[in-house]
Amino acid sequence: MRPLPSEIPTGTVRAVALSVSTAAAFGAGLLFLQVARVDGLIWLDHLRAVLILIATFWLAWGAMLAVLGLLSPTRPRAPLTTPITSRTVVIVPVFHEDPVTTFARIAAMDAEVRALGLVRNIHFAILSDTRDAHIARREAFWFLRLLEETGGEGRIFYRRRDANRGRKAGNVGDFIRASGAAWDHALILDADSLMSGATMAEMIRRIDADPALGLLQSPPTVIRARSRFGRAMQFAAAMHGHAFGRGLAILQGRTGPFWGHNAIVRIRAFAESCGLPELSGPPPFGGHVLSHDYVEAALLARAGWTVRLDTDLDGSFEEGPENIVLYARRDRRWCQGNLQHVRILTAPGLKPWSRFVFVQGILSYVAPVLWVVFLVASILAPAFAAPFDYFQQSNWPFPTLPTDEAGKAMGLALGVFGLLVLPKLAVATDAALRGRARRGFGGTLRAIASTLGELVLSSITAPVFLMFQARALCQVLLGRDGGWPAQSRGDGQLPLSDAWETSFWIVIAGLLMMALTLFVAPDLLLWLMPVTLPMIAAPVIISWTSRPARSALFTTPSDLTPTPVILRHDAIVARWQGLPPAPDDPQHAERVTHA
Amino acid sequence: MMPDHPDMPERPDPADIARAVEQRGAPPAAPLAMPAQRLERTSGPAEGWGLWFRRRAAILTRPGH
Repeated sequence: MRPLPSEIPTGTVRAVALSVSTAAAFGAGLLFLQVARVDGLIWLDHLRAVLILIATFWLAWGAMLAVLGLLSPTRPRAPLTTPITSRTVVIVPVFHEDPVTTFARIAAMDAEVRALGLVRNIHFAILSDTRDAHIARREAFWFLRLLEETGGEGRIFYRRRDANRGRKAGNVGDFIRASGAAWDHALILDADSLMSGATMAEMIRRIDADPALGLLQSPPTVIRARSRFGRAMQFAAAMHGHAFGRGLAILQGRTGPFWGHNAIVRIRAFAESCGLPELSGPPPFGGHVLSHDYVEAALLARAGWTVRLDTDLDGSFEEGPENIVLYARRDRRWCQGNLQHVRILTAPGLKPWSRFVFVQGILSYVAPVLWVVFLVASILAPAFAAPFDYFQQSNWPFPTLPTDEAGKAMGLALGVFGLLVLPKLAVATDAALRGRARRGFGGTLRAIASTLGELVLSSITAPVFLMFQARALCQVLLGRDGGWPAQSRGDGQLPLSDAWETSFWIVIAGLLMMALTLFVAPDLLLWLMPVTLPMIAAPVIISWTSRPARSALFTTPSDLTPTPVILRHDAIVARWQGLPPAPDDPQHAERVTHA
Repeated sequence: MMPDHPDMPERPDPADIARAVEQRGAPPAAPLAMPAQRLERTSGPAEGWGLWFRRRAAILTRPGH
């Protein structure tokens, strides 16, 4: 494939991507109407055509990101070597996290900063919103350990808020209001983020070099997954993430994304433009802005700042959920946050693309549910359809036979399936041809096997996710606030009983859907098996995928050649876990008792 | 305070730890204004479109209007 020239204007790329996606959507809708008219069009068919149109647009849009990413291979910017004179604070918000692993990340990053001789320029601030007194005491204990270990007094800070107003965005905002003038930039991380010193320095140099740059987002690589589900997700992100990320970066241009962490912001720009108000009315649509990162990116762009995603930045890491339930819990929060953006769509002065980004975010939770509605409507359609009239002309003795539209129906199904699968296959093929699969994924054959394995696993888990998303959407629309649950980290292994407890309702829904199909549209029973069977087997799927992965499948570059900062973190965690635990820690009491 | 030796069996006093964290870890005071931005349109009705339409409908259907 010939790469796209880099000088194509963002507007042109956006217009092409929108046109292709819209054409695919209308094509699917019209094709469906042609298939459905065989036994006469009824209102349910028109509804299904609209559903398939919107859902296909969403699929085609995702496919366009991959195509654009593939056509525009990463062009690494030449690393800057200018001396760093600005001051940056690395912000680590924490909320009920394990302080040992979290603070060990800071120790590892600080070691890299010291090795680069940047201790005067890069500081760290742990911003705790922890409400649990026991965890707070552990944080305090391990913070002092962190200072001892790093000699970081005056460079590494810790503060805990009395009231966690405004959640994470409020936490960061309060810090900037109280201390922001002490630094030029803030590198915002999550508690599970890790970044190499070289990447931090490069991001600082890039934001220093471009005075119009308000926010620079790095693409975080998922690391340390252990479960089957986590490993598959980590592999998918490593194999396909770069292409999708590049596509996104090209489409978003100067109105880039902010994912809430692993990004550097110019503090003055952030303070001037990103103070978030409380939205009028109660949650879930009012109150604090939940998915604040999208809004902050839009506000920076509104104020004229560039927001950019640089996909050539490596050395930026995060961890992902280890099982489907943890993923669904995080998704519940994101769903509410994205739907809340309905309130912000018409905010004054926003760039049109920022508004479109909000629409995309909303659609990412609405579109999957449209497929559920489409399936239910398809099951019910035969019950509403009038019997076929074989003698449509009164003076004609021969019957009019229904036209066979099976080919078009198959074409439509294959088209939708292709939009789902082909982008991933194309990215994997590209990786095999360019040698990326051999170098980073344990060999070309293993990379191909992993790609196919991930496709199978994601196809099996898709109906389960679909149901969790449908439930989340319904809960938000019914006005139920999901609150602010702490992130659960750890190995995430779920016994079958726990999996049953969280997903028995999916089993019931699957059985009901199958029974309905059997009575109303038995011809569709086999067609719907890929959806209903995983629903019925949801607890088994959830439990099985949460178990530790033992095969070499889903190998990623970070497994084969871990970046030094990851190894540093491992070593520090191992050492700290061998130390006496914090006061009030159950392990401490146990140790004293058995001493 | 922190135990000096990893095997030190004493239980450090949480109050001492909290004091030490405050003294050694508090970020510098360097305030910066961060004004709340306008996210909701104020040109529309403040009470929301639903209530606005109901009120207008009530006015229009009032006898003698």
